[in-house]
Amino acid sequence: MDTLTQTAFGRALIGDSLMFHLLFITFGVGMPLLIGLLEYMAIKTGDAKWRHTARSWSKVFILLFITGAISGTMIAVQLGVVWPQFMAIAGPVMGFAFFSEGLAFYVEAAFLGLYMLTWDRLKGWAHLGLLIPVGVAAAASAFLITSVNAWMNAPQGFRMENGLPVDIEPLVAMFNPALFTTFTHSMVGYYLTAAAAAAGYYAWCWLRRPAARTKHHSQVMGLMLGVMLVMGVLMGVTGDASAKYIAKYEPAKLAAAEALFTTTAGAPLTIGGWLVDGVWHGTIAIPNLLSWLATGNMNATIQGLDQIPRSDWPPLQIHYFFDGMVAIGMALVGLIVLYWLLYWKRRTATTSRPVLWALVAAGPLAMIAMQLGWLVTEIGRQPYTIAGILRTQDAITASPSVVRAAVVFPVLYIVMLVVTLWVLVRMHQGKERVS
Amino acid sequence: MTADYQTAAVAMAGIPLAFAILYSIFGGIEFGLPLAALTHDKAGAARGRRYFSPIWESTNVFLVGVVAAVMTIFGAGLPILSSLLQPLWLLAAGALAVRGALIVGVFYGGWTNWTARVLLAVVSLAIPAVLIQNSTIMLTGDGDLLNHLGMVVALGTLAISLAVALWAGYFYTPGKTTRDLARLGFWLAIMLSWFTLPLAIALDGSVLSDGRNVLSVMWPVYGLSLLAVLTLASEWRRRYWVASAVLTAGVAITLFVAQMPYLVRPTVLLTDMVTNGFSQIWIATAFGLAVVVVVPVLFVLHRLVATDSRH
Repeated sequence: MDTLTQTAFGRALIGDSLMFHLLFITFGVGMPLLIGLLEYMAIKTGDAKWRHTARSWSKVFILLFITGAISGTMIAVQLGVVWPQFMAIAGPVMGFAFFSEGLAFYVEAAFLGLYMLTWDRLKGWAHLGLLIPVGVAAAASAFLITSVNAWMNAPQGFRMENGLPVDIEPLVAMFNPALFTTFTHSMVGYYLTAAAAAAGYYAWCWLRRPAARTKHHSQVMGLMLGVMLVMGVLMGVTGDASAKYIAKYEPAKLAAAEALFTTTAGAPLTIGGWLVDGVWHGTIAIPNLLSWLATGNMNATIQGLDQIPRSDWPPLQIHYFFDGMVAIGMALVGLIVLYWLLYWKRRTATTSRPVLWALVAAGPLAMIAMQLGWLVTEIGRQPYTIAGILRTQDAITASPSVVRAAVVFPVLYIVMLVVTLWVLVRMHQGKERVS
Repeated sequence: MTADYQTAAVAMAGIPLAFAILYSIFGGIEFGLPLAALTHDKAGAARGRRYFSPIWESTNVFLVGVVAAVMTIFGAGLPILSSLLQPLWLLAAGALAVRGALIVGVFYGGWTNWTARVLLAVVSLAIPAVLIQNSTIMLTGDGDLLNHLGMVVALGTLAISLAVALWAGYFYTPGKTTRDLARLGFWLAIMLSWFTLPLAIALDGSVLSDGRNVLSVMWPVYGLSLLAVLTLASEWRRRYWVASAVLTAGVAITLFVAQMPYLVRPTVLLTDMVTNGFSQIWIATAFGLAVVVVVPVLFVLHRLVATDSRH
């Protein structure tokens, strides 16, 4: 088998694995905050219903955590055995972050066990306090693994000699230019998506189950929309910072995402369109907007793909992913604003069925936006695994079993996803057996 | 190459070993647990689900620890390890995924049919049997397991017996079927450790190519299994799982000792593959801190489970 085919299968395998893992770690990072807020409300109001709700969501969290732990194990294994050349470089430079991420997960799992086993033993702040290490460890875990990904996009802190990294400065490597924007943008995305999924669940219940139309459910939905409002604002701030970072450090990714073939002063923002034989058709261009978004100057020059060797171009299709992510993000912000406007006007937003249906859609859409964002990040770095250092085709193992794995693992992921969703539905129906 | 540097490399290899021991012990309990569903011991199954579910599958963290430690501490050796271990690891990862789906279905989704429970038990016991074959490859440097069927069978049986012993010990209930399984599993594990492990290690001539006698690397398993027997004989006689855990640690340490100072015998030395000084210090410190934080939490978890078991 030729290297390109082998690489394609390897990329498909790790891509499937990361997308599957992202479904669960989004909640692994985001849900401790939501559960903590619910338990805090129980302490603040003394109302047992908040505590019951927090406990119910903690059961959902456990189930998602389990599946996330399994999918995380798959990725750890695949990184080692499918991408050994990548790890041979990343190990000495960023291995300490990889390793520490595992330890943070270890702390999260241990305290999560303690948190779940003490629902009937501890009350108030004593019990809520056990969730804090879970949330902090989850965030630390996300920070550490994101630092590795950011380093892949903006590698520094070493130089290559005879195919191996030398003069390694691990902390310089970790605190690379991509770290802050990648970490903050993705963290906000995790919290926003988890809150959107929870709000969507309550909206669905409100629409479909008259018995669920209680003041408490309305309050919980409002709490989730409150989280979404805060995260929506932060999403805009971090998104803007991300755009400015990409323009400065990853011009090829920006040019491909924005379908900008020619280096342009006062570059337009390109929206929509379809790709035929390497040419975009039917796009809408908003003059000067890309220059302004990327630099703060409407007349700034933005580097196009013409300045980049053709062999280093990322796949042009990332324009679809980028547009999809931005469109969903804008729609979510609009929905959040609409919800709170209705609430401000009527003191409730649950009377508007279109808004409730939009909230039902918000959860899956937020998850799709998360996936699209990571697709832009990962595919936009191609053809490199470590930008400018290691091409993807040079990073992959020579073993042909990658092909079998690339076929088998997605099937396993689908089975796991179906089973997990099925159990979640049973939990919703009150048939769950999670203790 | 100085002796100090070699010592440091071997010391760093102790970190993946520590994770491997923890994974063997906690994973062993988990891998054996589906037997509770098979034996119709509903009390055992319910207890397993109820008290172990908070950390159910987070045991995988220890497996991730092994992988992450090897990848980061001995990353330079990954191209070699990958070519040797890839089929085995992908097989194990696939089995873990199948098992994950079955666990969610059987223990959380209420799948009660016999097929699902048998499949879960078989897959669960197959995983340690597959994972322990890493030792076969890393001890022989030969990725073709068919060339070492003696080791494959011996180590696989040992892994299964340890899983049975650990599970039955941890969920031991006086007067129940688990008591007999505990005894059977524990003594089977002892016998296999004492008699088949040296045989398995010696099966390939390259295993101890530095001239060491096979018995010279067996002291951990003999020493710790003696400790396990003494544990059983003491006032802790009902705590089979403690004895089984000690024995499991002995087996893991023995395989580690047999492999030193190589990453892959008989050619790939740890010292040639170990990472830089900064990473070594960071990883060792982070590991130490995590142990300080997590071990007390695990202890409290165990006490909570034990307290609940008595009620």
